[in-house]
Amino acid sequence: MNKLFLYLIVAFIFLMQIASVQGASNLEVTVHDNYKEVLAGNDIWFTIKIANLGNVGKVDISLNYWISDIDNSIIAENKETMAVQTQASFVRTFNIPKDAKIGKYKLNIKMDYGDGEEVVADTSFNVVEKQINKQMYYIIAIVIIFILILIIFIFSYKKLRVLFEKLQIKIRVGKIIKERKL
Amino acid sequence: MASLLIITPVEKLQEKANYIVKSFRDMPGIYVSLNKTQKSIEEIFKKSGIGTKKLFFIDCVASKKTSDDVLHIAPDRLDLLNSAVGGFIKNIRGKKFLVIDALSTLLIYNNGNSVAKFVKKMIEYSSENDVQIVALSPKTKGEELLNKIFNFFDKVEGR
Repeated sequence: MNKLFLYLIVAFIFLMQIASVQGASNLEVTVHDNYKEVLAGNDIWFTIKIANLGNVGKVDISLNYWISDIDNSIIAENKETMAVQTQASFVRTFNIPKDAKIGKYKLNIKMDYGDGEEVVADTSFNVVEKQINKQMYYIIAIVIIFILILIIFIFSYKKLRVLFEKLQIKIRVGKIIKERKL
Repeated sequence: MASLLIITPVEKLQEKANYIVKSFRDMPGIYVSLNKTQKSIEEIFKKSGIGTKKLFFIDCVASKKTSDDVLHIAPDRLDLLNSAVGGFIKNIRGKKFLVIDALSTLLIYNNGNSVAKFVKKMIEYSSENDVQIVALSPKTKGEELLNKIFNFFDKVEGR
């Protein structure tokens, strides 16, 4: 009786462990904050976290991860197999194709334990247009214009001064003649 | 005769200047003074009984402004001198005259070619605007310049 009870306990623990592995829905994928918005052609960095694998020792898992657009078309994918014990966290990168259109994309992860059990997770990010800092361009343009004006002014300062002096003289001549009433 | 160059001994320069200005009588004129200040020239003219009411002075000797109706221009600024003379010529109506006393002084501050160009321009202005121009120069100074500008004048006295 005691033996049977012991077997039952062992069987229960074993089943719990299997259940914890098979129900390891704690698959999580997060795109790093700096990569929530990414330019086409650039890399996206993300973290995959697998938790609650239980105490069944090393488990071979296969990971599929891919990026899909709003129409569920896959624009990039990757696959790898690894041995995981209890829990794991790792960083991966994807290169966003240069021709990727601007918009929302989904990063999908599918983890396969090898016995047909699958867990999926996903997250989203945006492919964005290169932001042109217009204000910066205006400042640069103003600085360039200012420098050009300064250069022109420096080179033509003497001529401008002479022109100004001549103008002053002509005004004075006109004034002198007007005063004399000739 | 529209342009006249008078070459005279230094001691007779003022006498000649007086004579010329007097000869124009009531005609308005421009007097470019390169040897004496406007103030001293005016005093000399007054002593000689020459009226200065219609004379416009361009003083190239004194740098300080002495009177509102006198232009002070440094003798090395031929461009400004040119502008001033041109301004007077254009603004004074009717016949007028221009006296340059004395041309050779310009050589102290400018090179011969610049002075020759200036003289040529003055003569061109004068012929275009009904101006009689008389330039004075001491006999002993600026032989080279005088040789360059002889041909610009209609008449040269004392050569």
